[in-house]
Amino acid sequence: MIRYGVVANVPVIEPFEEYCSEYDQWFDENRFIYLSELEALRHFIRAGEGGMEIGVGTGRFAAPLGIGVGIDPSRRMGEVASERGISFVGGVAESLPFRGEEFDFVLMMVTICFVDDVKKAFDEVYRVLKVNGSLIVGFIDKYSFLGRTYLHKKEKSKFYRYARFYWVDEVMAGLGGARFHNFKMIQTIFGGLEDITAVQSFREGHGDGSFVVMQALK
Amino acid sequence: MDILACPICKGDLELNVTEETDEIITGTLYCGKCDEYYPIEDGIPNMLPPDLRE
Repeated sequence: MIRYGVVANVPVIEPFEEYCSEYDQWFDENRFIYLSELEALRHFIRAGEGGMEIGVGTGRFAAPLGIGVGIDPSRRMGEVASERGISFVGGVAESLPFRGEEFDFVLMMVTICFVDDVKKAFDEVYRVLKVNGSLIVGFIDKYSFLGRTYLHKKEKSKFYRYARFYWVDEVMAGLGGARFHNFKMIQTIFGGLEDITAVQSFREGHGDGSFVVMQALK
Repeated sequence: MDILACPICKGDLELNVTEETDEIITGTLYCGKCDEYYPIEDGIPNMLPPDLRE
């Protein structure tokens, strides 16, 4: 059962506005984690399909994945995403400003942990997806090595102090509640951070890798 | 812009352009049903629901 909201009705915007370049630098400083996660996401994305990323940030995932449209409450991050070629729109997951059945797929990459009302967000994704379209959710599994590390250091992080982490069953239950079906899961980021000295491959399932990508169909 | 809808009622929006080059730079998107304007500044539409805007 997903419990909703960290700070009621307030999207997490300020830290991303204030520490935008710090956020963006993370991807250079943690290159192998970034690239391993990117490869896992790529597994579920087919060329030529029309995609949209919720919580697009600076476009670090959307741009290399060829996702044309991105939404985020932080305008400053969106300006960087625009420079990376994304059609950026300011907005929140719970109130998507798109027509119904518009996209072949929607990506939420390390985004649900910052969304205030995950149920409403999943309902909105369902609405904007075409029939048989897919939602791809990338997240740090709460009970994985990294999940526990981030939880432990949560208060010290500029970003994660506002986060609420989920484990696989919670995400599946939330998606099922929003009528999604046909779940597929892959995992990557095996071992501790110091073990990640090259791009890691991914494999099916969950429980070993810290990063899980779940795909569900409308 | 043609994929956008009102974030509240999901209805159609009326586009008003005040500055344009190859793309729309400045303008508004108006929802008649909700009587709300959504600004476009430097080419970026701000589609945050009104209660979440600064």
